[in-house]
Amino acid sequence: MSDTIHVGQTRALYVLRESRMKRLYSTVEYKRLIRIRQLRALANTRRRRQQRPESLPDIHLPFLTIVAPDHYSLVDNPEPAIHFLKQLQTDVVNKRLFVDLSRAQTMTCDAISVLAATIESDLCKPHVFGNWPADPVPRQLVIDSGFNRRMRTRESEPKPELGTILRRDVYLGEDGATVATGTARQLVEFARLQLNREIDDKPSYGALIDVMDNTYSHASSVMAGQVSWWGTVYCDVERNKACYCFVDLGVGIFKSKSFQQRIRYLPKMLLGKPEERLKALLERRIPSRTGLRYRGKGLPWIYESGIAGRIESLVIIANDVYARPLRNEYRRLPQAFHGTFLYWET
Amino acid sequence: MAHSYTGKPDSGVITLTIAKDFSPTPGGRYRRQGPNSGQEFLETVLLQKFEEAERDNKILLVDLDGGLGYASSFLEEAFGGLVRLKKSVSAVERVLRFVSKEEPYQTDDIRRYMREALAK
Repeated sequence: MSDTIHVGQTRALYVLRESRMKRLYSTVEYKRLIRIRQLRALANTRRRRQQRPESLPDIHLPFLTIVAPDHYSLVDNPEPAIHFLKQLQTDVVNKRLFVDLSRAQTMTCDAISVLAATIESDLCKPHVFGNWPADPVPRQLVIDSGFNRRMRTRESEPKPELGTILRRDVYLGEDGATVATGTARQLVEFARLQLNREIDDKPSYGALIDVMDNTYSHASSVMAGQVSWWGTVYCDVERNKACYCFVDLGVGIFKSKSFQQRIRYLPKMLLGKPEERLKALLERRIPSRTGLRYRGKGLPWIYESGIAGRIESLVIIANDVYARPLRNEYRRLPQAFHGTFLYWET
Repeated sequence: MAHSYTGKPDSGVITLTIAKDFSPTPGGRYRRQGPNSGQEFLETVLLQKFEEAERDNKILLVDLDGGLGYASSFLEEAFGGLVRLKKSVSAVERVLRFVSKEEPYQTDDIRRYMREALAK
């Protein structure tokens, strides 16, 4: 037999090899091995992606520094706080945002929650840099509140112990639901555990669910259930209080479609005075947009819980209205808040 | 089964404990908003128990204790919704009774929701 392989023979060898390979590809064993190889490759890609430092876009751009007010609090000092948050929401071109908290002398947990919400929202640039307060008291509050890792800082960030900030996206979690019973439960149980006291937290749970319900129905100008929200709790150990805060950065009560429809029924004298409108809403003096009295009980119920002493220090900020309804304090703000903010203590 | 003042099981009462028979974490008003809603409670638990009590001429005792709390929207949709389904406040009030040691104010609120359910 000759060692030379002719063209015809080569072709025959090819055909033979192809048919063998075909048989190999179709075997269960080959499919199992290739599946293992694919899974390994996938795991390696994931591992490499995790190890790789996240790329920072526009790293060459200069910073635009936004300075927090000395007394940074939405509950006690809303005007400068809202002005500060508005600056964060402005669309800055060709600059990176730097949030300067270093000069803040005093802070409250509600303001930290809203800062976290603003940074995480679509209203703000995706990568926000910043520093922490120089004063040790507000600095500790930032650490304890659960704010960590929302801003790029040079600080080491210890685990928060007294507070938690939970975000709810419309497309995440329990079936993408806006009313998240699990999150409300987490907040209430966090407070119960940290304060180690027998508090009546049922009104807080009910209030959280009601404001989530409100956000679902009224926060979006386009379609129900399209707005994310942030629910937070901070445990003030010194005062033995659980401080709850709920923020959505939607259109706000007064710009919601449903409210616009409801105020058609209001007497003309109340139109043009948003602070009076909020008061009327809480006191159940605004009829439902549908003409049915059974709707729209959430905020009035929270207000009544405050009157009955089940919750304390209730503060509501909606658009350009600031209200401490339990002190009968309603006032107009020079700059409107983008969304709805509620704060209460138990 | 509920117990009468004599300490014996009361055969004329059906007890519905929301925390056990439905969920300890009640949600908002409608199913589309999230889990454990008032609408879901009405459609899957309350209506069935109510009709059973109505048919057998019994009292339906709703126990509100044991859960984490209630939103007004949940209670309104469940009990106000029942009144809207039955189209009569008195027919529902004849069968339903409420008990809550932990949140006694809720029973008054529920009665108000039921009264306002058909009001326009």
